[in-house]
Amino acid sequence: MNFNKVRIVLEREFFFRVKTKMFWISTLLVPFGFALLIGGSIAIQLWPQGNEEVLAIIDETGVLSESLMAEDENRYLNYQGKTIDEGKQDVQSGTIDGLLVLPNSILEGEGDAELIYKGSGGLSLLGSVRGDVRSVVREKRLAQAAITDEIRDLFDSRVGFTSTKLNEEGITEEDNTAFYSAIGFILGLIIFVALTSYGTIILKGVVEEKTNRIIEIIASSIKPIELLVGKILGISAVAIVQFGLWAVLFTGISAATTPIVAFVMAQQEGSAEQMTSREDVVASATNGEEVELSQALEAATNPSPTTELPFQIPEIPVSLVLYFFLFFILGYLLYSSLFAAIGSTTDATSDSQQLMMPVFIPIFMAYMFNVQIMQNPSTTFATVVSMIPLFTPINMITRVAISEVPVWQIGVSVVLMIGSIYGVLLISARIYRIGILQSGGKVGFKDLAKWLRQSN
Amino acid sequence: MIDVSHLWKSFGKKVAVQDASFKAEPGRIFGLLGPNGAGKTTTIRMINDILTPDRGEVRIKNVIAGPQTQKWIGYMPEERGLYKKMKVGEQLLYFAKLKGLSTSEGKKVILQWLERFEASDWIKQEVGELSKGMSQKIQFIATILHDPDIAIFDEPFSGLDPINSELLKTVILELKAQGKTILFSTHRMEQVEQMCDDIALFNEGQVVLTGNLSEIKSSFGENTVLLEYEGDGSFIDAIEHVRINNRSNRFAEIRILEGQAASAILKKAIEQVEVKKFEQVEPSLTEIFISTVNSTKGMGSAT
Repeated sequence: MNFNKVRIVLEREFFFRVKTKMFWISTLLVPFGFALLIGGSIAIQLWPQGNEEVLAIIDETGVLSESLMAEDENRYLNYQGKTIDEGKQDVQSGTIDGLLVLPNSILEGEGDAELIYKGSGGLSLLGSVRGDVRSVVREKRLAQAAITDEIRDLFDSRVGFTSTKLNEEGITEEDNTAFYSAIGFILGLIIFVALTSYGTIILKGVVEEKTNRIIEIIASSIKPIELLVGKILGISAVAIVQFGLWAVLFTGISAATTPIVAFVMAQQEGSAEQMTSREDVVASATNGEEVELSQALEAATNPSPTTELPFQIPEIPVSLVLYFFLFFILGYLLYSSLFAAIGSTTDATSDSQQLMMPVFIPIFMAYMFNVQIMQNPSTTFATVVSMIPLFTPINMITRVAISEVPVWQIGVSVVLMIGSIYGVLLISARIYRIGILQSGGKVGFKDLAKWLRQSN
Repeated sequence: MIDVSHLWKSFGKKVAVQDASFKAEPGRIFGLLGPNGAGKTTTIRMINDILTPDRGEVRIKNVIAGPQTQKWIGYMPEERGLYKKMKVGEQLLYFAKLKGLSTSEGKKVILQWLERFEASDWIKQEVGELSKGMSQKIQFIATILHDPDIAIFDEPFSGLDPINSELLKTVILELKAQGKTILFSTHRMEQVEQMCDDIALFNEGQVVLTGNLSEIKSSFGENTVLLEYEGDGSFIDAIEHVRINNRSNRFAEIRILEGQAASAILKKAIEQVEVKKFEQVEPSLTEIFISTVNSTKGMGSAT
């Protein structure tokens, strides 16, 4: 292989793509899209979960409605004296959203409370009403049964549970498994998206050279393997630049928006305090992370660039970033030569669908395995799957992010990947060098097998 | 300069080229001739080291075809193409660099050629924006900008507009005058007659005839009659032991076969029509091709 020629191809592939408007538009838009997505989901989390539905209670027991109204005075309304039919009419006409009928027998533990409504409000309404009714009824029945306060406290008491990770040096550290699971899954997802999208770019590039008939001129100047390697490396350079820019932009955006988010969240907490249960709001906003409320309040009253989020984001280790790039590059190299080989067998992108399936399947499989691996990163299944080269790039990075993966496993998976990149490149190059000169006619798997044996 | 010897190439069970041999010399134009599917393009691809022969070898300036010889050749394939989204200048520079020119050398010759073809204004345009004729010019430039000693054109005139056809002809003749080796393939015989010094006739993967064009023609002798006439030409169909090529209602090209004589045909013609012209000439290439193919077929069935 003549590396000077590989370099010429690499430069063309790189500069040609980096000079296009599409490259810059996508490079700039993706982080903003991501920021919007994250911002949006935080906003939804923080949005007051208003009890907008008004429910009327027909309370045959006569003792429950008061306690229910104490649970949520905005939601519950006493319909004392009205009949069920009258209540139903009100539901029909829309004056109330629902009618909650509490039969007398409910205090004996026999009858069912019934909610008559038009179906708006969904699962969360049903859930919260069920919870309210249950706790009110239980309360009353406990009182009736003359249970002592001591026993009731026993029921109410919570069992504390914290987890602590012991790292290799024997130093305990705070366990942020939930956070790292999310990070691991997101990293796997990014590699999944990157493999499919950069793979498609390679495939389109190869198909373009075939359909535009440029390939024969190029083949009269360099070897197909030089073109193939130059193309793969050129587009990987594009990918690295794009990811680098994204990293910079993300850091910039998050640095710029952190004070804003902190301010908004602190505002939320401030008003939440005046509302009923501030714990709930805070807990839902922070997913149960430790909250330093005073810090947040301070931030709210004094927003400055140094403001920090009202909760701590666990640190992302540098090694994880390096592993991400390692597995991303290895995965890209493995899949891109497969995509190039497929591109070489077709004249139009639509033709290649049939042949693309076998390449997309392992990528999708790895993604689906990841749902399992995220929850159980250290099972035999996770270990084996993450060491199969076609799955490694997506599954191994998730395991590395979540758990302590033994170094030998990472080593083995990297060696296996490098080995299969080499093997796949050789096979792809054989298909590629014959495929690029082929024109007309559909190519099936039988033909591919034949090409592997054929000299060019 | 180009020495093709005993070249074989098959694809699966199909034998595309069988034992092909010929030589193309500097300062001359060599024509590969034959119907579509006769093995011309496969042979050209082997000369360009795009395909590797199963057997036999190609030598360029006495070096076996490979990455080194690729630099000496400028090749314009039959299926022509450029990157549509790339600018003319960048694209030409890319091809120049692949052929081993440095960036500065490349830029210099690109400017010269664009000027020569009155195309300097296009340098910053994307190829997709150019007309078909314009991109054909860019294609010529891409073929010869590295000043190759050998220029190979596969069906160069197919799809060219008349202006570009003339331009390409001029360029080819110029290259010849500069002492370059030129090889082109065509299935249109009259182009070969006009331009080629040497030819190789391909049929079904084999070179059935090769050599100096005028020598080949004279070896066939003046065995063809060109007849121009006025009147009812139906008597021509009744003449025996001839092959009639290129017939119209006032003209016929008659190849005389064994058992027939030119004088006998003349006699008949005078009796039937008013003869405007009667000339005994060397056979046309079409005629040579047909009779060669027929005779090799005869040999094949005899053995």
